[in-house]
Amino acid sequence: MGLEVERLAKSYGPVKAVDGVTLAVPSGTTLALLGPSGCGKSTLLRLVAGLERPDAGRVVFDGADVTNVPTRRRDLGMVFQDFALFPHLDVAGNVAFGLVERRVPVAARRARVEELLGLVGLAGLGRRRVHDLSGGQQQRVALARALAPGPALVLLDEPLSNLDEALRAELRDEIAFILRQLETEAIYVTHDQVEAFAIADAVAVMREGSVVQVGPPGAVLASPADAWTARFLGHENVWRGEAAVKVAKAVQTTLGRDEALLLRVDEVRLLPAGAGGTAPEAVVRAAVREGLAWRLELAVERWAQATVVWRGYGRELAGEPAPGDRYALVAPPAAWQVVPDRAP
Amino acid sequence: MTSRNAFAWGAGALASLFLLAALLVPLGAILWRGVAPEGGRLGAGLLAALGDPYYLGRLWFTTWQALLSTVLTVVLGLPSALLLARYRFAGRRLLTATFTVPFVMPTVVAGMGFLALAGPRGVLGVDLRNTLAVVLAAHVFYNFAVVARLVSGFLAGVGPRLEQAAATLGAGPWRSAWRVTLPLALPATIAAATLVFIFCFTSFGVIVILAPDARFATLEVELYRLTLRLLRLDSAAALALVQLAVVGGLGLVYSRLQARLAVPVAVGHASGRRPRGLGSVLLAGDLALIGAVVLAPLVALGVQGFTAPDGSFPSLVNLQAMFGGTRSVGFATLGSALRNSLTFATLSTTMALLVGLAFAYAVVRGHFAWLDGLSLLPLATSPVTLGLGYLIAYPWLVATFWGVPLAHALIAFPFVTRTLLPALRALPRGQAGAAATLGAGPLRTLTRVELPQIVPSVAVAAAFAFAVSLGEFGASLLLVRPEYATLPVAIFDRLGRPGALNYGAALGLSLVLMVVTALVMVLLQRRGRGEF
Repeated sequence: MGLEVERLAKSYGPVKAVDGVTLAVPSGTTLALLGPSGCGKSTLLRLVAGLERPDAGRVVFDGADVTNVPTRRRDLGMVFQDFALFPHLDVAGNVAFGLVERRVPVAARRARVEELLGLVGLAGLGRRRVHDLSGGQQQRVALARALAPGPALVLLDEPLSNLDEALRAELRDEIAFILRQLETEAIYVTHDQVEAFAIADAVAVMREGSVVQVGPPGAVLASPADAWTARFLGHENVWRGEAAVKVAKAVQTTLGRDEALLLRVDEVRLLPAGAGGTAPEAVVRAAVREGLAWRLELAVERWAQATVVWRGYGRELAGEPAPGDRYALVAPPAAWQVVPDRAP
Repeated sequence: MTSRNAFAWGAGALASLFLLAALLVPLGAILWRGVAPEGGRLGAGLLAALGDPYYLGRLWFTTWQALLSTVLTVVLGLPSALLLARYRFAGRRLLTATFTVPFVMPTVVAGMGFLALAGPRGVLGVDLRNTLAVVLAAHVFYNFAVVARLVSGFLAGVGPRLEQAAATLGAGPWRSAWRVTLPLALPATIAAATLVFIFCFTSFGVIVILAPDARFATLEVELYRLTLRLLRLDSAAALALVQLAVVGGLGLVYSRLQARLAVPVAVGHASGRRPRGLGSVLLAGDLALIGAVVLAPLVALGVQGFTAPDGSFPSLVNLQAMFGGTRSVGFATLGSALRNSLTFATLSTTMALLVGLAFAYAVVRGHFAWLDGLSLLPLATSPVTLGLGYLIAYPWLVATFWGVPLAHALIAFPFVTRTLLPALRALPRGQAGAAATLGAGPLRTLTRVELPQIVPSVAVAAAFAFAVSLGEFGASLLLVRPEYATLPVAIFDRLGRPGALNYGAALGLSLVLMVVTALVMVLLQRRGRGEF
């Protein structure tokens, strides 16, 4: 059963924040809503939570239409971007809040709070004031509070965006682990594709109020719906317009109007110059160290002087690359994709 | 020592000197007089005052009327605060401004308003003079805004996010009000209640105008009576010490609570929702009630001001009465009272701004952080206490023109520093350094870089100081020489004289004071906001 959203729409004045979105989150799966800031993903989440009223459309949960059901009766748990912890309650008081609303007896409540604090790695900190916790700890309390009543649906609104880099990676993996264990539906809103792909069973990419593409992380990455999505997901070798037509001609592909050309760099190999058979020659324009990996900008003369960005480790390159070095660039036919290029 | 440090040092010295002369020496004089009166044993005066059943009775009355006033004010103010914080609606800003009107009105105007409403010749036709009811009503009227603004301001800063979080956890509007909003509002409410209690504990103008009977004398009124009527300065000093101890203790509680409120609560932008259903009914009812309570005395004052003693309306008899009357000694006409008030207000505003700026500069730029704690001390010193201190410490000063402006400058001082300190603190630290690298000395930096940026705050501080001086009553009554009577003193003087014409003149003068104060406050609202 799970959650279904049908043609949901919400405008603020002339701005269509959510523009007729239809989505399904099957039972026990996690959906990531991925998009740049201002694309409407948080508004969509608030519509699902009932914190905003839709202009049109329905929210259906386990077969029941909950569009007009107030938030408090929707049986959901939500983690807010700014945590929204209650400053007048201690850690245990925050986690127990929803249990009190559901009239859980004191003994059972206490046991449940302990269980949840253990789950998020805060065992023994129940009496702490929430002010005194670090950002990461506050986020764990927010997660425990949302999960404590055992909600049928978990909503997470950019839960990691207020934390620093190292903490983000750690908490991301923990949240992924906890959500998998729970087997309840969850929606995870983020602008960070790494988070989305690490946590979700399915990813929905949003742009300007609409969902552009939905699918499992691998499929979405491997064949982005259009040129904008490809760029947003981190594909660097996307040619549009005139440049696309020239490159397409060079690699004997035909390109229609409003189509762009994508080269998936994960399918591309570099071989020593001359060792690639019919593969075109590529000249290093710039070589940048990115930690242990290298990022190369390569000029390919046979592809109408197109610039190809390549990433990989030094062992594939036979020595440190330097501008002017030459390689054979091996791109199998499967590496090329023609994608629609819709006007923004 | 760099020149900048020397400059800050000079500013700190100026501010310290002012506080020493205008506050600490008079307080010290009271302490000395109260603890070691001429000829007596050490502490004899204080013990005598504490052992006297009459004074204990006054302390008891002062305490319980303040407690009762505070409870009433909170009970009436809290619902308005919650509703104001929760809902957005048309006219909300105007309403908040209306709520603030009584608070900035001089006590004399508030007192005269209630007299016009429920006095011997009042609009309502019932004479509530010398009843507890009218005292409580005036205290609620006067302090309602303190609760409503402090609490709703705090809640608006918390924003709707926490209530939304409560909703996702299963709490409805009433449950989340009970479990989230009210507990959050509790520290702000206690802070506001403490402030209200202090104001009511030292109530003076309201009492001497509305309930002059000895049964209703607060410690502050008793101080005035002992000092000016009975000339028993020893007992007055002892009583002032008791009052200082209570108010000072509560002042400490208040500043502690303020510091706790300053802890950033989980943020969220203020965006209330439109009232619907039951909420809109409650809101409308509450606003109507409060509007009536707040506006009734002021409207009554307006109506009575234009009603002749024979009952004809509208009439200009009262306004004419302000100009005339018997030419006995110390009889103030509108012209002289207005001129005196404006002169004192200008002088004291200038002094308060100068010293306040020096103070803020020394605290922010120099090593005078300890001074910061002193800036609230004037708030704990009631006006009559201050006047008494001046009488004891500087008898020669009272014979001159300068006692009143000095006292007014001191009373305005906390308002000025509370406005200027945050403004100066908000300036980026690097700016002064940048100005120095470009060749500007400390004075040039102050005039070319720092002052231009805090002009709005200086304007707000000036308006506050001006309004404080215009309305100040207790200290003026003790210090002013008859020929320098200010508007509030002149009103009180007319009220104390027999005859309908004198009462009419008091009404007319109150109207003038109300309008002048309102004008200053309108300018204040235009220019920006203070930190209150």
